[in-house]
Amino acid sequence: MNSLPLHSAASQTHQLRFSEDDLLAFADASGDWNPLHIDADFARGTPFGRCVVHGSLLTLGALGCLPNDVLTEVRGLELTFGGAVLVGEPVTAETRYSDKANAWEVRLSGRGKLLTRVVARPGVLPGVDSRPSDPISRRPMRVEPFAPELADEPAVGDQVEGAYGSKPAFAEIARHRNAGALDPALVEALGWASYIVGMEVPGLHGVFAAAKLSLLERDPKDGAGGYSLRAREHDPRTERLVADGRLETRSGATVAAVIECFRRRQLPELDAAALLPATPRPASGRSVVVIGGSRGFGAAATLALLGGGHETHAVYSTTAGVLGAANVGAHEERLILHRADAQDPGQLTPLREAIVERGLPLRGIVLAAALPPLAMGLTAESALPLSEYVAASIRLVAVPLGALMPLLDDQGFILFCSSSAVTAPPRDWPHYVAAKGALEYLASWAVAAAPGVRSVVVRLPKLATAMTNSPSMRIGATAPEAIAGRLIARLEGDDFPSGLTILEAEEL
Amino acid sequence: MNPLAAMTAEDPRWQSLLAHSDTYTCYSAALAAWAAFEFPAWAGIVNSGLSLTLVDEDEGLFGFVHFPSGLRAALGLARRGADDSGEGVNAILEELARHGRVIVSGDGFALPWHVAAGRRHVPHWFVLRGSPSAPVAVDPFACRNDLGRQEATLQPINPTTLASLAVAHPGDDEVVRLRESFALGDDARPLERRRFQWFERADAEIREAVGATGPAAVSRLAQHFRDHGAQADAYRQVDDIWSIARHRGFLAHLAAAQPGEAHVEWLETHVQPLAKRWSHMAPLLMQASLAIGAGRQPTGSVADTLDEIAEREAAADRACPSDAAFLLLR
Repeated sequence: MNSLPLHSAASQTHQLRFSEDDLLAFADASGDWNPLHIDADFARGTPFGRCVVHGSLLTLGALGCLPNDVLTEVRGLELTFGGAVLVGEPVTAETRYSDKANAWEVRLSGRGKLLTRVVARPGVLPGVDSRPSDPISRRPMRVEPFAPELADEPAVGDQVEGAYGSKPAFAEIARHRNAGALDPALVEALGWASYIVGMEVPGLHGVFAAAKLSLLERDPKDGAGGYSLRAREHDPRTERLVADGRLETRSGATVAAVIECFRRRQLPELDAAALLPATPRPASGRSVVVIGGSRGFGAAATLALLGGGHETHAVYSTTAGVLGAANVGAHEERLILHRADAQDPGQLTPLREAIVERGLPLRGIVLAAALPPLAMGLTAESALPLSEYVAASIRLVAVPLGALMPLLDDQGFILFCSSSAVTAPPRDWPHYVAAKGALEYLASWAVAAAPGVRSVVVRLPKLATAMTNSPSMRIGATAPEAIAGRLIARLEGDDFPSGLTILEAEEL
Repeated sequence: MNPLAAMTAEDPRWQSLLAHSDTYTCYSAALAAWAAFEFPAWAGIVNSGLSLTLVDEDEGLFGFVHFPSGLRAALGLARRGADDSGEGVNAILEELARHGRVIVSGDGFALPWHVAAGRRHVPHWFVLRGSPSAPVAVDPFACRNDLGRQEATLQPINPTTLASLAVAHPGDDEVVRLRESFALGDDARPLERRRFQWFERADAEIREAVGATGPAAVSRLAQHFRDHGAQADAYRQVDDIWSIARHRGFLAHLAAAQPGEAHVEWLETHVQPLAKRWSHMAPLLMQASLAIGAGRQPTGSVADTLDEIAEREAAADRACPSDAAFLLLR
């Protein structure tokens, strides 16, 4: 049995960071153009909130922390991606050698969590020796990710075949990441695995979870530049998919693989008809503002307020989403869209001016904007990103509150969107709980600052929104339409006295 | 120096042209090759600084004006054309005899050194240099596109082949017509569709291009994609946006080569990140148009990124130190 060079048994740490340029170069060289990695707006509509570093690029970065004479001996790789690494986010790589396992391991940590684990072995990995007997077709590589319909469930036994070749620049990326000593076939297989998950299976909504790559001797009758992949397991509840595959690399060797991934389900679009009457009600003669009004609960609240006859100002950061003219129909006249970053005081000035200019009293403010709560642990190192998350979350509430409270009429309301997580904190959300706690204290302060105002904190249950659209988070999530409809009806019915009201999830 | 002398690969002017190969458009490459024979400071002529004018046209199209409007008059370049191959080739060779160089407005399809040769019609300008009996094609433009890698080329041309080499792009595409019309910084419309087209050294009448300028031009582009980004037609001029990225890349390259310390912070803080951000536009535009082709709604990232770039352009302009102001043509 081969063994890897030992070097120092002591573990070493390195700092890694991946820029937008790194992701674009990787996409171009590997062919994995999945927009989750390169399109900030697409990423904002996912639970990650920002572009995610390709798992295979992380792996190259991790392997680059190992000595060259170790890399040259590597014949098998095991990759596990426990959490997303975001563009620009610092991660710490820790390397260590396990004598017992005869393997080097690199662990990437960030946000107080273990995010990636790469194990490099000198031999073929047991159970990873796929040799499908079918001939490999050469369907050209995709340039646009496969985007299956909701009903298009992958099935066990499904097979995908095609051509694959990373660009020469891919080897350059490996060298740039200090992983140039790795066998070129394994380097190419890392690009291929990324391409498979991001472009082929599942494609557009794919998330890379794990892989095992094993270098095999080339069978002389095999061609180069082709692959086959067969689904081995598929769990429709979590959309977890495991597939066996084989890549005939252009560098002259075969790589057998087991690839594990998830498919993010597409969220059903918000049901506008459930919140908007077919014929608009008479005008209420009042205006309302919804911050974060184009997605999730904010969008549902916007539609419910529109349905109540209010002139509704919806503030959104990127796309108007469900608030497009096709969805609001005859209510369009009363909907005023403002594209602005609610954390930026200057960008809310036009909103203030528009409210004043149109002359209707401001009846309510809905503070629904929130940042995606990526899993985080609390360590000394993660305290900084935690505090940055809390600060940004407070800005999302405090800036609009400061800008709009002076315009609110005497019996006006402010709806603070908190979370049931405040009373039952999830282990991985210390930042989210702290941010929502701060929001609730701002609600208390608002009562002291404007005694006649109705300050309502709503501890929303887990809602089925883009933020929770991951296999574990969407379990038990509730559609936002019904909750928004009931809550807005109670606000309009003057159900809440002036002062502070806290509504628990079960009261909704 | 004999203006009719052929250029060799060892010629320092060719070497200086090559230093910027990956930051030219084919238009700026031809201007560079043409100017390098007369002006030691030719790079300053080709540098468009932060200049950009966007002229609103019909059917959601724009005229992209990368150079300031006085450029063509300053250089003394007038477009000429002919339909007859004998007439066209003779005129090109006569200009070569008079001035030792001539810009030919050609078609990549007909040029053996072009990556699109025999595969796709693309407008492509190049310079012929030397004498009518021994012309040399001087083409320092390099890039990578979906057809492969275009390399900078310096090669002797048999004058008898010019009838096939020097043929112009068919000009049957409004996007190309707009590009050619505004290529030298002014509004040169109407363009005649002639089978052979070249530029002679002559007094040129200039009509200024009128439109949004500077950061406002970039914001106008952002608005275009915000309003029409879901339609495939919105992406017909992605090559022109790529050209802006090339011009900013040239500025960054040129600024980095300037001696002195005072502008280094400006370069590193503003110009290089700006050029880098512009270079991100090509993949974003490609992904957006592919998404539409696949029946998927593109995201707002193209418009968002252009908005961000508009702010960066304004900031770079404001922060330019006095010792680097010449790089911005102020």
